[in-house]
Amino acid sequence: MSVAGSSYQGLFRNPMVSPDILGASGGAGFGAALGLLLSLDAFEVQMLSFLCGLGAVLAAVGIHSIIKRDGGGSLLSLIMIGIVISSLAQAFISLIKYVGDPEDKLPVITFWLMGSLSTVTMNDLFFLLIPVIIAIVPLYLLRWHLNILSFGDEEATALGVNVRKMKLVVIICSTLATAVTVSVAGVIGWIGLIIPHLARMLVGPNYKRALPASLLIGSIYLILVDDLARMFTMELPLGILTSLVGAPFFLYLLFKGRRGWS
Amino acid sequence: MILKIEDVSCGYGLDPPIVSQISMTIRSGEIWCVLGPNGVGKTTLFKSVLGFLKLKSGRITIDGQDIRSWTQKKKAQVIGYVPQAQNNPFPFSVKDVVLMGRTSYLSELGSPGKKDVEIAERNIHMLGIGQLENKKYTELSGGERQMVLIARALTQEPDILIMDEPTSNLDFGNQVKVLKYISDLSRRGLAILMTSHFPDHAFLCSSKVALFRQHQFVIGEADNIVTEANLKQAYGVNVQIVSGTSEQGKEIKSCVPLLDD
Repeated sequence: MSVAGSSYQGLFRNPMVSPDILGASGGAGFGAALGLLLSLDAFEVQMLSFLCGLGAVLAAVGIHSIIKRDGGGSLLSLIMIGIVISSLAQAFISLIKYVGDPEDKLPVITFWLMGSLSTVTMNDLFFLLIPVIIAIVPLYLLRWHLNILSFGDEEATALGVNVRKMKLVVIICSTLATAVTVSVAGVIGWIGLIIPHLARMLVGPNYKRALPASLLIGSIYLILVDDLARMFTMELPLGILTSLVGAPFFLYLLFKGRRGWS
Repeated sequence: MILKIEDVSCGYGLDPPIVSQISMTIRSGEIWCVLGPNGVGKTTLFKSVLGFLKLKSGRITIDGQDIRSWTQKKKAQVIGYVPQAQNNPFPFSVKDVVLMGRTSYLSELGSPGKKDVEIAERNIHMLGIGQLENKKYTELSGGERQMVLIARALTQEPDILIMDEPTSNLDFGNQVKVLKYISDLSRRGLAILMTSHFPDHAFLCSSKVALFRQHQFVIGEADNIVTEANLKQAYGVNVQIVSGTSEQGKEIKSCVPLLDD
């Protein structure tokens, strides 16, 4: 998630972008909620969630390319479409919750949406491993070129970067990573947004160091927060804790004035 | 090296062309100054040469080869671009920004190596901005940023430098400094194509001029093109061209606008 977020922030030239900006989390959340409502088994829920996550981004990019063909279309419009898709997914999730059995289905769906590692097994890890490797290896190798994308399409083109191809690879890889993570662990907020900043504060904005740093810090942060979640008598959902710990820490860093952007 | 712009028409999308049927031949060591009021298509022309926009007609060649068939990488190794200084959301160091000029020489999955760093540092020092090297690009002044972007374009080791209003946003002293660097670079064999809002700059760099006058570019030596009549037609204001002799005995010329009709 943190690598996807870091890459997106460069691609969209905006430090406020998170990896769910094109609808990957929303779609994956909808897929999981639907799967749980239909009483599918755990693997089927994951699969459905993963595919819906990919489908949501595919829809966003598809709509954007149609608009683009008609002469419009900018990065901003792509973000807007992503927000629309996410919002639609949220509406469907609410609908599913509404029709779900409040005794049985609703708590499961709600808990899942808050994000948790408590039910993750070794098999899930293998399910996660392949898409995550397919996603992160290209982003890692392309990380120098991510620097250049943050100067905008024209400058990047003039510097010899094939911007269209780069953007496509970054969107595909980030979506893959986000959708598969959400399908296994639920919606764990903050990591995709805050960890890239933290990485930039520590090692500077150059993706040569910032991307690996995001990967490491993101992983360590999740494990620490998960440990914390298990220290309570009843295990707390991770999504709550990542925000509860992350948000004040981020504010603290802002007050200290070590900002990771201009 | 010869860059030929042959009967080029260019513009956006399906709209009618903004610039039509322009032809220019730019050789190594020449400075070309494109003059004209706002919105006549100076930037559009540059975007077309750089390949951001498709040509509507005509062709652009470098040493006889149509550059349309070139990859973006190959183009970037021959044409360096100095855009108007914009901000970046992330505080890259000046050294990193200049190093980005090496991108077209790297493999798609590669990162700059030692030799690339050397080239970047050489250009940083050549332009006299060594003291900025470790500063953040986002915290520089407009003039400093302009110098960094010139260093980045030089790090592409191009034959041609395309500069979009390299003196805009600069104070008087920095404008003159940048023009001096441009003259130096042309003496080293670079071809320079730039836009300016000041006809004086054409005299200062003793350049060739493409002046947009009444829907057409007129092209030639600064002395022949930057005339009182042409400037009046192009900009719609009265101008007097005054000349004198510098202390070194060089002829100097300047355009003085007149406020009375």
